[in-house]
Amino acid sequence: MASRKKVLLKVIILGESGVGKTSLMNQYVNKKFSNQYKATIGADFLTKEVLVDDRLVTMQIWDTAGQERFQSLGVAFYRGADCCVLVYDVNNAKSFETLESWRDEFLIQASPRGPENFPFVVIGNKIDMEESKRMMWDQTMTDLRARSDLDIYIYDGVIEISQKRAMAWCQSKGNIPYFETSAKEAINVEQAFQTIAKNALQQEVEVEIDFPDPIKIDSDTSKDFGCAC
Amino acid sequence: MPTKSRPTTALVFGQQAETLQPHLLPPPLQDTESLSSDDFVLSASSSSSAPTGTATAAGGDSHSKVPSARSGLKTISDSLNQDDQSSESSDDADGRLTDTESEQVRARTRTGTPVIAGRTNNHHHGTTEHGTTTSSALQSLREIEEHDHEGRQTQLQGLESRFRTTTLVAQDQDLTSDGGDNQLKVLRPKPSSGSVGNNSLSSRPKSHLQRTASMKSYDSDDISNNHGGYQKHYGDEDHTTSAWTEHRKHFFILSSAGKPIYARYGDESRISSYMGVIQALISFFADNDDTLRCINAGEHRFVFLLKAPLYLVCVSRSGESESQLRDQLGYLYAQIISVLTQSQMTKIFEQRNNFDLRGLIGGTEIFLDSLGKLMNTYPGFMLGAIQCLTMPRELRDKVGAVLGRAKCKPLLYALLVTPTQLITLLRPRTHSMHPADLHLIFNLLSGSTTFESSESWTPICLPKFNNKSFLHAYICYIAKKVCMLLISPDKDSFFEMSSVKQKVVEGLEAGGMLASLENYAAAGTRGGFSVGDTGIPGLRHFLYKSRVNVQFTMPELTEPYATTTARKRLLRQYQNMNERMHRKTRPLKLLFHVGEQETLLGWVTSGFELYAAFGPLVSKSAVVLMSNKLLKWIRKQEDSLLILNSPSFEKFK
Ligand SMILES: Nc1nc2c(ncn2[C@@H]2O[C@H](COP(=O)(O)OP(=O)(O)O)[C@@H](O)[C@H]2O)c(=O)[nH]1
Ligand SMILES: [Mg+2]
Repeated sequence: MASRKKVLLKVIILGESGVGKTSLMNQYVNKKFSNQYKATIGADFLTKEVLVDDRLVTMQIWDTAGQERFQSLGVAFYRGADCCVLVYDVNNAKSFETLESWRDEFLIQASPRGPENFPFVVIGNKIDMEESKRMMWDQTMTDLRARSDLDIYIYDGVIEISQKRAMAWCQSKGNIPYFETSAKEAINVEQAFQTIAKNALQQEVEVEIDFPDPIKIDSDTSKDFGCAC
Repeated sequence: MPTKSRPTTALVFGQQAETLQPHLLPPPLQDTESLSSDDFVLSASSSSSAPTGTATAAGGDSHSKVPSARSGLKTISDSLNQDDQSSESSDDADGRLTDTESEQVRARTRTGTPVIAGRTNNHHHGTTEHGTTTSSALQSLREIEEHDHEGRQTQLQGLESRFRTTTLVAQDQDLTSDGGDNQLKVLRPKPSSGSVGNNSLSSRPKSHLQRTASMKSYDSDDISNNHGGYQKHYGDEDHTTSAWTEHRKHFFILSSAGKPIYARYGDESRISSYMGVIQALISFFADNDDTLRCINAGEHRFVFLLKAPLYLVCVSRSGESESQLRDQLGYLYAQIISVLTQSQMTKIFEQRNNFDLRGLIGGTEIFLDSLGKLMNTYPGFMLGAIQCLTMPRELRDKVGAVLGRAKCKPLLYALLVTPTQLITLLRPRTHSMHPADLHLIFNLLSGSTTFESSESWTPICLPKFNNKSFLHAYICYIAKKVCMLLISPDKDSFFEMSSVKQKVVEGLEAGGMLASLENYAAAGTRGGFSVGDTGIPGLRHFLYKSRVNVQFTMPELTEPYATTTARKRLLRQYQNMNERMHRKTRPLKLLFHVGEQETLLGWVTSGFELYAAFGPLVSKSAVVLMSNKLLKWIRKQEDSLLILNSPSFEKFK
């Protein structure tokens, strides 16, 4: 595409709440991390310019609130995405198990052309967590769960999702690229997003443009706007 | 983060059903009633009990009683409630409007209640623009006079929120009509489908034209050459700074996927997060089959125009009304259509709803920018009318005849324009040209200097004419400020158009007309005539729209309106008057407004609209007197101020 403009890519991040979607985005865009949990309400948006194979592109990252699924923002929200990132917490089995339904639902709502080729990326986050921290995390989530206004996922304890299992799933879905990251320690975040950008760019294929038919002028096409000119 | 809507935010939505369906055409003007000036005469009664001092005092008075926004709001609603009363008391036997600012005025001034000393114009026309029969009342709106700009803003805000539930319909200019059911036939050899970067816009036969003409196309590469690398004025502005947030009026255009297409200020891709927020808001309502139309938040107004696959949004604290802002968004939309055609755009997004449209309209942002500017200074958009160059009718007719005789087969329209004023227009008998399409042409010419240097040939879609296809415009300046446009449906008719131009130029030169055209155009760019020409001393400026001809005229903007700031302020005043008078719930025929810096009269009949500005201390009776004089003057000059009968080609066969 012979455009002077940087291409803009719409990237949607999905996954259960608490898995670290917002943290990943913040780490990637702002190079910041906070231990505090701040539930995302509705959606957050961040923009970042990246170089992909010598090409400057703008990533428009759409971070969503996991708790209410697709209901909160409307179908139109997901329209025209160039890539969808599915995030789970490697320490939380349930967050992995729901990936399938996140993916399915995205495909239904966004109804992209050629769903079988639509670029997804799967991220297993929080690989930095050690046993002790996991216990603390467990406590945090218990506290949070007590708040009825936040529909927090049920933390299943310290069951690690084996890398093997995750990769098998990705493979079964048409070789979805898989990354294990830590938003906290900034491990692998850059690489994951690089792949996201690269795969999103594939969506930016050329569009067929027909020159519209010319106008035939005859008295049938009469247009009188009631003005003297 | 931004999606959290604060509870103070008032959302106005819904009610879209009937109100979203504006007129497709300018208001029906086939009002058969004769509209000679005599039907509408304002005259000042020399009632002894109404010393001119009263009105003057009322004007001067105002400083001491600056009402708060709240009280302004209240008094306005009071005054509206008294509308009926005032019309009752002003039943005038001879059908003339007389000024009776006598006891009523003084009585009410004393008590501080609003002054309504109006007379009803007993020429009730069955249909006004909004289809309601109205009584008109001269309203003294001293309560909302402009004390300082901010005060004004707040008060308008107050007013607006008072009438928030009133959704205003776009008036004359609806840019959204589909192009009608023109019969399309392929005259053009269908170009092979290409990719975006190599689309048929750029695949025209350049080489064989290179000797004679510079080819203008909207291909981004071409444009970057043509415009000498256009640098968007505020393109580098950082959206995190206050300079960015403080702009009075922002325009945003995004795809319905939330991808940025255009921002008036700043780099649209860097504010793509805001675009996401906008999309999320719209999506939220769309899910309930609802349409987000307007959000009033503090002094800001967010106006939405949803034209899937595009969304257009205006964020403004300019004080303009919702419908005025939506009209402006409609013009921006039309500008994009003029580059792409509606059918092409729809097709693209049907193929890929994640399409980044900027690649395709690249290079034409300059025209969106200039449109944004023009809408702040050129009253034609608000009025839905075009301005004509002031010149003697005889010359105009002679010039028109030269154009008419030069007609060749593929020529559809022939126009001579100074960039923003019409000199003459030749058209087929069965086709007129819509003012909205003409505005796009005016904007094209005034938005870029690129056309001044050579003959140009450019595809252009005129959405009102036909939004599905391109016409082709031959553009060439034949004298300073005198631009000739020859519009043809045939993309291969460049040379024919060029020879038409040659013929016209020769014809004009032979008749010695070119030089005088140039003189009138030079004078016209300054304003054509001055208020002084009217011989009315207290008159500062006016706008006169002939609703029948969909044209308007105005004098040069001289002191105190010589600066850009003052001009904009005056236009805002006119806009406020216009908005108030055309409000759907209670349209007014007459509005008398005493402001701090000027006194304004608004007068709407089925034949014309007049907005006139006088000095701040002019009495109402004087305004009435002067307005009548002005109308008489306009009637006398009408055939040089307006084009009363635009010729068709058939006339010269
Ligand atoms: N140890 C650790 N904690 C993380 C990581 N990513 C996120 N968190 C924490 O997990 C909690 C939820 O993160 P958040 O980004 O808000 O999750 P979201 O609901 O998916 O957006 C926060 O308290 C984060 O500090 C990580 O990589 N490692
Ligand atoms: Mg979050």
